[in-house]
Amino acid sequence: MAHAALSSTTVTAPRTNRLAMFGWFAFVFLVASQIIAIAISPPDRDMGDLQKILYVHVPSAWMSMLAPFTVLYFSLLYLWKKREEDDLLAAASAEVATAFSGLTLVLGMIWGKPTWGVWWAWDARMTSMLVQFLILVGYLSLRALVDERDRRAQWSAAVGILGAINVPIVYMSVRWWRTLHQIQSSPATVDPAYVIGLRLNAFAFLFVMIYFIRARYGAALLERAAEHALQDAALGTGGSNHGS
Amino acid sequence: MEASNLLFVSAAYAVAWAMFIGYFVHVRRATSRARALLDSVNSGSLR
Repeated sequence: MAHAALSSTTVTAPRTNRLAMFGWFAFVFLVASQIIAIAISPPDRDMGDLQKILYVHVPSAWMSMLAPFTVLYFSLLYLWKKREEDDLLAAASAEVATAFSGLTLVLGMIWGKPTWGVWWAWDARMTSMLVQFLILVGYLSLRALVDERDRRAQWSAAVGILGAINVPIVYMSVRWWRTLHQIQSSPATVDPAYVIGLRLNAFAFLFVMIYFIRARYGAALLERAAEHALQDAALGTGGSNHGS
Repeated sequence: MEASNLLFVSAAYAVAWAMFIGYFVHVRRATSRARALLDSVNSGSLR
């Protein structure tokens, strides 16, 4: 891919400062949301205080279903326009999606043990979420294994699209196969005492996810600029001061 | 809060924050590493 693809995307100080400010905003919003949710919600009739786990498990699950669509969007954009930035954004989103999917699985296990009596069951929702996690790990492994840039971008875009196809299966799994995991809740089915905590934490997790994707993309831009600069230096064609 | 419930709730929040902090550190390290490499190439020390 032509080096010019990155020439218009150098990381500049003002953008970095804005990102840092957004990071602080997301952090403060997350801490406040968790404190408010824990403080104002009474123990659930059946679950007791274990219900408080849902303020991290449910938003994490939502983000792990949202992030693969970001991967899908930038993967399609890459295949259409062949811009390296879209490939890097898809990769950053996939890494964050992997982190949230893994977190969702672990939090589900921590919630499942005291409520269901088991850490793990081959339930439809848990299994389909595990499949999603493994697809995302496969996506990241593929990127680590393929050196040729265009081929890596194309292959990972294909895996990214496949991974997004799995998301509706994860979402609908609790309706298609009525196993252990309960069906989706909505504000109509959740006690109002818990809705505000869930909403606040959903937005907090969304802000954190956006921050992570943007920060990882910034790091990827720098990594790529360093790679280009090294190639230029090796070929003796340097002098462009990439990324400065 | 019951002691056993407190244990599971605390574990859940600890895991969530471990992921947030861990991923943040991972991104910061990747950024610093790339910036250091870029600086050394641009300054000519790796040419």
